[in-house]
Amino acid sequence: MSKAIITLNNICKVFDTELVETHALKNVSFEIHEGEFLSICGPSGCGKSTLLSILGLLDLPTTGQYFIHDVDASNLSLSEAAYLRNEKIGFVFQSFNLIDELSVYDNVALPMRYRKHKLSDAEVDKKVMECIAKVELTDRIEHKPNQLSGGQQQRISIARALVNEPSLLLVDEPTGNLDSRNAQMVMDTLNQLNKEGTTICMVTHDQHFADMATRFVHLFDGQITEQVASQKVAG
Amino acid sequence: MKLIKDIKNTLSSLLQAKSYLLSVILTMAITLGALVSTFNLNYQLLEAPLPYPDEQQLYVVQGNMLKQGKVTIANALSMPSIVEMYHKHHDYFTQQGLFTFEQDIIRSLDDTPLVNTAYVGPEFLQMLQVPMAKGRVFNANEGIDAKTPVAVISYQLWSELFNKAENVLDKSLQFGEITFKIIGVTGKDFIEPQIKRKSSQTQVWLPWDFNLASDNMRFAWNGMERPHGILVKVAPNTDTDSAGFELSNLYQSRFKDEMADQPFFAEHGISIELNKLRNAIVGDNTQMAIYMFIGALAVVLIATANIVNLILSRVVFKQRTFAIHAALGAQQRDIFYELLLEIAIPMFAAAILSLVVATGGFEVLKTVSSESLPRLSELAINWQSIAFALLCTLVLTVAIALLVTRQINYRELNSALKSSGKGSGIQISKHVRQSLVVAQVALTGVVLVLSVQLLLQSFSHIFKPLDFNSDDITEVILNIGLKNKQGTPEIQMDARAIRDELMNHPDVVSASVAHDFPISSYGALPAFSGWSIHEDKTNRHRSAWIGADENFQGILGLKLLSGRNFTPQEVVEQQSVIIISDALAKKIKPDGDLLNEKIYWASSPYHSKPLEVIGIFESFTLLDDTPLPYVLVPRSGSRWAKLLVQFKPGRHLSNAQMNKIMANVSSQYKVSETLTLKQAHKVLLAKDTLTAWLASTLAFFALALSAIGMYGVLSYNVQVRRYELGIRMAIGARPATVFVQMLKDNLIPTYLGLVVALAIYAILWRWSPLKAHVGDIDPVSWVLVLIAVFLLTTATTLASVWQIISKRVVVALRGI
Repeated sequence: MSKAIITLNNICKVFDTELVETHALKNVSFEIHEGEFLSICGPSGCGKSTLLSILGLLDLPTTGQYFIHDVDASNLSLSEAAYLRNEKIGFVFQSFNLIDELSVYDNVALPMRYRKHKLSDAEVDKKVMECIAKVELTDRIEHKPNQLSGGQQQRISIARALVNEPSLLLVDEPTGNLDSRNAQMVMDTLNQLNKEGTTICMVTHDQHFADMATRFVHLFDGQITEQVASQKVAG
Repeated sequence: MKLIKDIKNTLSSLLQAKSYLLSVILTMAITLGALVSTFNLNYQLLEAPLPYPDEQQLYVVQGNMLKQGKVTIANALSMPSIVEMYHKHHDYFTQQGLFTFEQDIIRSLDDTPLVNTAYVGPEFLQMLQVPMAKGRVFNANEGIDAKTPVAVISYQLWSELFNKAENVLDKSLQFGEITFKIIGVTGKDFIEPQIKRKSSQTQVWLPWDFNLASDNMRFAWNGMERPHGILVKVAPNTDTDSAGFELSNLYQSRFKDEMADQPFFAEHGISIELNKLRNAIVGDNTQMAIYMFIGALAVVLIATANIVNLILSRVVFKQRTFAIHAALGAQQRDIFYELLLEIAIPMFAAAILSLVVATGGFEVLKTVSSESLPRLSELAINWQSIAFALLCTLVLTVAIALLVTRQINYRELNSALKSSGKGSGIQISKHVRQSLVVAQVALTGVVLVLSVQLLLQSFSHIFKPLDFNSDDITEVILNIGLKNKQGTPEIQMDARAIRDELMNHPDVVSASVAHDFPISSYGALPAFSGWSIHEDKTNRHRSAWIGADENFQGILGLKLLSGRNFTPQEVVEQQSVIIISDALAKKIKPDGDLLNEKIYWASSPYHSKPLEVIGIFESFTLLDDTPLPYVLVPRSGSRWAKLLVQFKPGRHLSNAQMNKIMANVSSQYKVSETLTLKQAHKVLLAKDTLTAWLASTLAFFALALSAIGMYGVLSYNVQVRRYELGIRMAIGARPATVFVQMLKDNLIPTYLGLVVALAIYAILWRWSPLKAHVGDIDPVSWVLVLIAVFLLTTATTLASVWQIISKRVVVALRGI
């Protein structure tokens, strides 16, 4: 088996309010291996988004251990988390989260502005153009996000997630806001990227797309109920 | 019930945003407090009834001296004319009361304190129906020409001098040679009408007969002194214009008769009118009070703009709540109701606090404006102030609620829920937001530059040390009692004798007799006069001058550059010699070599003989760095005898001790006033000190208001960009990177605002009298303001973005 990029040990997340204590995740443990396409699925409110936030260092677990490339990421400062997220993780959001004021090119180049070790303009340009080419939208680089279709916007957000060559691509309901044709196109892109070696962790509640992963983790009520290889692999 | 529940819910929500709540309450409380203060002041001056019965019938007879029909001396009447008016029966007056205001020392007390005295006819206090703490006011037996030595003292003097002794009516006070029996103490609540005396209150009321006017003044129909007058009570239904006209004719005729033998007054005359007591008290001060009110109103409006920004920012933050309300069927008016409660709670809390601030404002007004504004002692929170504060708050609350409701795009609210908080139903364009910041900074910039410039100027005066000795030196003004009936030479010899007696005291290093001080007790410089090197007294040069003895120069440590000091003989004989400062010498002759030259006292008709310059001393400076032209003339005092006493370090003589020493020469000489040179210096710097305080306060409030205003706009910016910032952080932007990015964005309108401020300042400086008050543009002021505005922007940016960058990214993305 290939090397584990991500290791989660007994991750718990509790949301505390004055009146109630909500256990969003309960002792969640699993690994994500290099080159894997992992799908996390489950019904609404099962803790998928919370898990993805923790995986993406957007939030901290209440208890438990979280390793990225053997680095303990369970309790990083905001700044350390930002650097690690920038270098190791690429994000694809359900609602694309492109910045309306920036062009397609600038949106894709954005993560490179936040790198610890800055690249030259030429290198940035090369990488940005490569990533845009991967999602086949080279002819749209001057456009603003609102001039693109939903599918195109999601593909641009994939390009943006890839530009810093992250170890892991976190994908949150990538097809949730798309029609079936565009959804299929986005999934094809992700499949292609995985085939080229990109490790992907995708949250979805669409069983059809979940089956495209190499393995899926099923969450229910904050706990992993099933962790199996998908039909694709099994088949 | 529903309203109470809604208020509770809103309050609970507001308490979760404590910094917002505090900002709104403090901003409105401070500025509304200032507005209430100035409102109350205007109410007192324009509307509030005077605290005297039948005040509508009380008038002050006001006279003017005319020349060829034009007023040459306003608001003055001669003493014989008012005395004659008092004795004559006028049908339109039911009562008439003479008054004049002076200062005198109480000779019966060892330390001879100087007190404010008023000499009045009995009717004066009767018309005011003075409330009494003890005893009574003067009666008919103590009226004009009765010469009964009785006194009524103020409640304050009773407290300070007699420690509220119950037997005060058994006591007496000596003024001059006369002992006055105390017959009454005015009540604590008595408010003296400030007719001729603005800042201080009368401490001792004495019968008119004992007033200190000289014989000349008593009988001179052209002696238009201002401190005396006549208060009258007009009969009901009197036409006061006609009465004034009749009096004018009568006393114009009397004036002409009395002055018939003086051709100089051939073209002169007098006019008389009856001035309401209220107008006599208020005078022309209403304009100043109205300006103060307008200024405070402007500040409230700026503060309101700031509060609108803060509330908009809060509303953006709460848009999800509003969106949920809208989704559940809330109408626009329901949203308005929600907003109204949200705004009303902090606003009315501010209104209550503003009354406390206003009380502080009254004290500031009393401290700052007691010289220029009357009726300040009556300022207090009354029902009018409370009603005004509540009305203002109500109007502002409804106006702000309407304004903010208009900013909410009700239709967009419905979609706010769908877009996960990405969109906004409440949008103010970036252009408008930036303009708000530019305007805020421009206004603050102008106020700050003016304040800093004034502050630097004041500091340059305040922290500048004196060029002459001031340690342990006391200025002493003497009261010469009955000696004023004797000739000047005798007084001068006595003054020298007193000086020598003082110098024999072991605590005294030296003493000097002078007719004036380098800095007087009023903070003023000595008199200026014209000096010329030409016999025809042309080409005059102005210079301060002091008549002083041979010790004056030594006590002050003035450095002689050439020549010598006065000899005692030159002083006693008042010989025609002078000592001048090199600044005057250089004005008269560029090389400054005037030693042994003759100079003419050009402004004095009594000195036709030339004066020989026997010494030139190094000029000193006072407030600025300009060397003062100065002349010392050999004199040993005059009727206005003054002493400069240098004590040993840390030693001092009390008034009583000095009185005892002076009694060796004559018991008539008493200390009237003492002031150390350092205190006199403080008095001289009073205006600068006040300016420094006002400028600092203004700068503080400008910065504070601007900070709140900018925080409002920037916080709104952040709320609008919250999701975008979350995305940036999600893809790796560190908190510091986000902060720097926001700071860069904010600094652009900030510095644009400063450019606008510079332009406004340049226009004000060029086209208004500003230059005369604040001087040339000082680059240091601008550098300081530049730094202050940078720090302000940094702090407000950090404060506004803190809620995003200090939390995990998921908070910004989810909007929780």
